[in-house]
Amino acid sequence: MPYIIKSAVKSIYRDKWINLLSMLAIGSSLLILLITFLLVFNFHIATSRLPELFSLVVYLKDNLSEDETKKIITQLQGRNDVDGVKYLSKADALVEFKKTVKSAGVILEGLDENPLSSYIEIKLKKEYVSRPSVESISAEIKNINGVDEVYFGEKIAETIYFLKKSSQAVSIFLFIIVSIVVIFISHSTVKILFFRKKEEIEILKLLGATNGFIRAPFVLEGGILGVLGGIIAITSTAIIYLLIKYKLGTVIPVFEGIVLPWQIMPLSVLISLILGVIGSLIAVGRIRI
Amino acid sequence: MVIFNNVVKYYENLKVLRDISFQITKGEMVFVTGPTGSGKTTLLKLIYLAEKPDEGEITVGDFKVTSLKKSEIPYLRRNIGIIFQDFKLIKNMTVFDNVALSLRIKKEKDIKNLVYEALKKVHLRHKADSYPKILSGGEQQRVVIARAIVAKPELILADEPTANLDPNTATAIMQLINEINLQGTTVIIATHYRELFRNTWKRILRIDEGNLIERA
Ligand SMILES: Nc1ncnc2c1ncn2[C@@H]1O[C@H](COP(=O)(O)OP(=O)(O)O)[C@@H](O)[C@H]1O
Ligand SMILES: [Mg+2]
Repeated sequence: MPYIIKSAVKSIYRDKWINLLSMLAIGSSLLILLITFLLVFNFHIATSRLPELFSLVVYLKDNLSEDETKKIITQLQGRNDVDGVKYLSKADALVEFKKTVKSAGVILEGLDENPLSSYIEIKLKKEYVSRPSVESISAEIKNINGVDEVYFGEKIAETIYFLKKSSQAVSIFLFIIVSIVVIFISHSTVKILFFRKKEEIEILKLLGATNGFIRAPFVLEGGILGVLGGIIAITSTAIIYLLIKYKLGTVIPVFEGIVLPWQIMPLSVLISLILGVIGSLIAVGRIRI
Repeated sequence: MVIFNNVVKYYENLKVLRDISFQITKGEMVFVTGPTGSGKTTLLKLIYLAEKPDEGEITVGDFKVTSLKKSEIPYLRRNIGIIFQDFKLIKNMTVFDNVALSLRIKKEKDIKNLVYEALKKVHLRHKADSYPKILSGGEQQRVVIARAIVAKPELILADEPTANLDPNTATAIMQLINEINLQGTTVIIATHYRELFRNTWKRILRIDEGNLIERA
């Protein structure tokens, strides 16, 4: 139906200002959505990685045999709150120490014997990284024969736990806001498409046009506007993302790690296409003459 | 062609048409008159179902308007050419496209020739590519007439077709409508302007306080 396509394209060009406005409306609402998503997504990534940074350090007594050490390791590995363990012998501990402390050579100079203890580093499963559970786990481990001391960063455990909990709350809160935004976008898109074309649709109906005849070019138009609005939104999002990463990131390093999942781009365009189409459909259906 | 049987129409509490009955045969030309606000436009709207009667029955050609399904309304309207008082031209379409709409809606072929033929009848062929807003009131009125006649409907409704025109243009428009009628199209003209039917021998239906009075 070349008339439909011609009519839609012509109409978009003729009403270029109001169309630009509709596009900006769809685009900016979608932009709000995308930025919100970007924030939540990155906050979520950041907080879900935090527990990985946390570890328990289990110092072993000095005079353990190889068998006894192995027994402790297997016992720790068998715990259902433990994700992984790493054993470092006295020699390993020394290498590790020299690696992390630059002046280690000077400090250790003159000591015949390796002063470090062998230790086991434990990574806990994410859900156990909270202060109360870490405390009880370390108390349990301390009671194992051959274990000298258990260390963990109390404050870190507490902070991680707090961030994780607040990340959930923030996500739920943002999800509610986003839902409201989505409803608002859908509503205003319909309204814009409706008022933009009200008069024309009315005239077409009075001339005897069926809903089908009216719908086709309007839906096509709504779809095109939606897609263009979506492109505005993803372009702006990409620009904002790049600015945060490469401009703000050089000043505040935290922002360098910001992640934008690119799959969201085509999805956004699809969403705004659907918005435009449904908006037009509702707009045509609303006129009763 | 058009039959009203005991038609009553209210707007909320306002009883505009009280008990209207009349019959218009095919090929007739009839004036509907009465002072402004008497219900002339309302009577025309009932014919093309822009308004529904509260009581009574209306028949237009083969359509029983009062019991028409919603999906059938477009097909009723395609048989009626309407000359709207407020023109109802689509302002961002050219004269050609506005006139062509009536044909496109009916999925007619040969659109170009038919549109130019209709525009020639109203002496506006040279304005085919103009947009309505640069045309004078009389020219816009003629575009509306071209759009109403282009698909060759059986019935033409004209609501105050000379309202915004100077006397000379008004006469020309009336001549045009007369010609359309002479070719066999039924025409109903709603007007409060007595000059239009002063010297006519055609039927005149006057709405007076919601009742219809016929003058032969
Ligand atoms: N949609 C409407 N809602 C309420 N009142 C209306 C509506 N349309 C017309 N009226 C009223 O009905 C009366 C008849 O109007 P109308 O048919 O336009 O008269 P005319 O065409 O003879 O001037 C007027 O009093 C007008 O104010
Ligand atoms: Mg009127």
